[in-house]
Amino acid sequence: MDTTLHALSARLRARQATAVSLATEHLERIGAAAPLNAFLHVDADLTLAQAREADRRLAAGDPSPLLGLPVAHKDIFVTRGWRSTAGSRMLEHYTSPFDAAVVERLAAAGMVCLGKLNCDEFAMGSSNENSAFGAVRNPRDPARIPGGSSGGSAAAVAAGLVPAATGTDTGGSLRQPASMCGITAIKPTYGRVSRYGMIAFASSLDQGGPMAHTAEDCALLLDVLCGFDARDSTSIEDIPADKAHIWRGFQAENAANASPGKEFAGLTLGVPREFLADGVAPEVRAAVERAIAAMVARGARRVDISLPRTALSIPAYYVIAPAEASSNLSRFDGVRYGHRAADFRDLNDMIERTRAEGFGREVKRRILTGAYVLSHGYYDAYYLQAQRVRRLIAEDFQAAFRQCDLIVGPVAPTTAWKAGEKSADPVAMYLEDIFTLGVSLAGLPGLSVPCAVDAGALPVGLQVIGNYFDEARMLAVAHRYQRLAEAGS
Amino acid sequence: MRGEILTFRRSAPGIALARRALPPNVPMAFQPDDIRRLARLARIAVDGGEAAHLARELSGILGLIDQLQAVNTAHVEPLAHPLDVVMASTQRLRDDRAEPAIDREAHLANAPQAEGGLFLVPRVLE
Repeated sequence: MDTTLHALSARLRARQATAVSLATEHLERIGAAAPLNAFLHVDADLTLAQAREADRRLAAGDPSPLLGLPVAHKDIFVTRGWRSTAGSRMLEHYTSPFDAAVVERLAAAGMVCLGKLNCDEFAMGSSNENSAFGAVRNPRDPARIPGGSSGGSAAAVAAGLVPAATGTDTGGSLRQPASMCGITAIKPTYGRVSRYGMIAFASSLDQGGPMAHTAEDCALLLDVLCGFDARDSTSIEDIPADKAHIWRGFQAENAANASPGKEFAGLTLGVPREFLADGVAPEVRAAVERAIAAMVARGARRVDISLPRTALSIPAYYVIAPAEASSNLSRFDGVRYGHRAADFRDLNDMIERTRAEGFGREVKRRILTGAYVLSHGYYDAYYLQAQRVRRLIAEDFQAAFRQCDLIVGPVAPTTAWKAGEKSADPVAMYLEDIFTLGVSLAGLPGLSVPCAVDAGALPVGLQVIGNYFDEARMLAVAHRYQRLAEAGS
Repeated sequence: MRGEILTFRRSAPGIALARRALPPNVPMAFQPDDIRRLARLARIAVDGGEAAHLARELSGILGLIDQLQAVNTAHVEPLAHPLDVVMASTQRLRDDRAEPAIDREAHLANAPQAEGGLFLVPRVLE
């Protein structure tokens, strides 16, 4: 059965389902899929109260397109009612007194929250093995990781537990799990989606976004998620008028490119040679090449480009993100909220033990790395140097966009790996982020759309990178590609 | 954190493209004592075994981030807000005006220990 938001909305409008029946149906599936470990907190009473309210609005003729449809939130977004843990022991029993902006916006649109989704602790990880509440399994193959850090979100959507979910992306955490679970997700331009109520990891990189089955569903969600928010000091106020409306832009793009066989006419796709170099799994490379060829066959022009500092995005990111994390996570001191150690000698000892007990291994590694690169004598050599390299990387993208409209390539060098395979070697894990980090450092929008499965039936994602605020066009291209792939399969 | 003087033993600066954590024959950049000092600055208690383990892991991470040293960035300004590349000033300041911010009771409900509208901490002054 078609489980897209688009299809479920049609069932609601045709009175074949109610918000309550959809919520109940999905809550049952969540209960049956407990071994995936995708959900951290479900509360049927809270969910059904929202569903009943949505049914009242539907009966009154409210036309909001997302009204009555289920959604679930990555446990990085704080929620009233449901616990907000960030996948950490530190916040195991924390309940927020307010909702994140993302949560507010989807609730106002009438979406019904099914609960909170597992993730890597404080969104730090690429495999979802860093959650204090256990790893998430990939529904395509439970022996494998779902990707991270929005792994619970990706697994839940892929397994049909919820038709859409929120996630966050600091260095690839929306795109990479979407790629590994075979769903669609978009990281918007930095500053488009409010960070208010999103538990902070690296504030100059963190960006929330939607995950769903299709680009069309992501466009519907992003249309609601985007918007200026005075409560987020880096929220962007002045978005160019022609890029301000996601759904309208998405529809206009598709209407202008509807002629059969010419769906990509006039579109120049840049293919960075660094993204198809040695080190990319042959099946991933072949899948991406086939996807590009399919678009070229229908009118797109391919240009080979270079993003020469692709490899440097890894060290730049793994300086900047830990530096910001060490600063952001200093708030967890056992005084105002969260865990407090039971035994201690004095105030300092209380703080040190609280943090030793509350944080997991990867979080400690990043805090210590961050403390090191920010310390006197190393600040210039690491932190400022990383920020200078960050500028060079961002300028490389601007040079590339003078040659093409969108950049395409793989999301990750491989498909989902086996659980435990890389968890003992943090550097090996970091290297897997090579194709997503540059986009994050530059603050650009990037999406992942499924383009193939490998010999083991594991999904491969195609990454589409746009210039600032070009989300509507990226989603429209991904949508037309998806229609093509459906017709071809 | 800034302003505190730290000195660390370093292996050869600018380790080139370490594909993996440092191979066993390369001297470790961090020793367990360095980790304990860093952990004290970050207010995280570490025991002996953990310090040794973290020293090995952070040495590997240092090998990775040391690749930055080889990049010529003379005359390049650090970039903090990514959109500064294309937009004028992207940092906003709000008006300096008192606004109702938080519900005191709701926030205190999350505190490990609170009393009389205050957060309780272990005694600092005798």
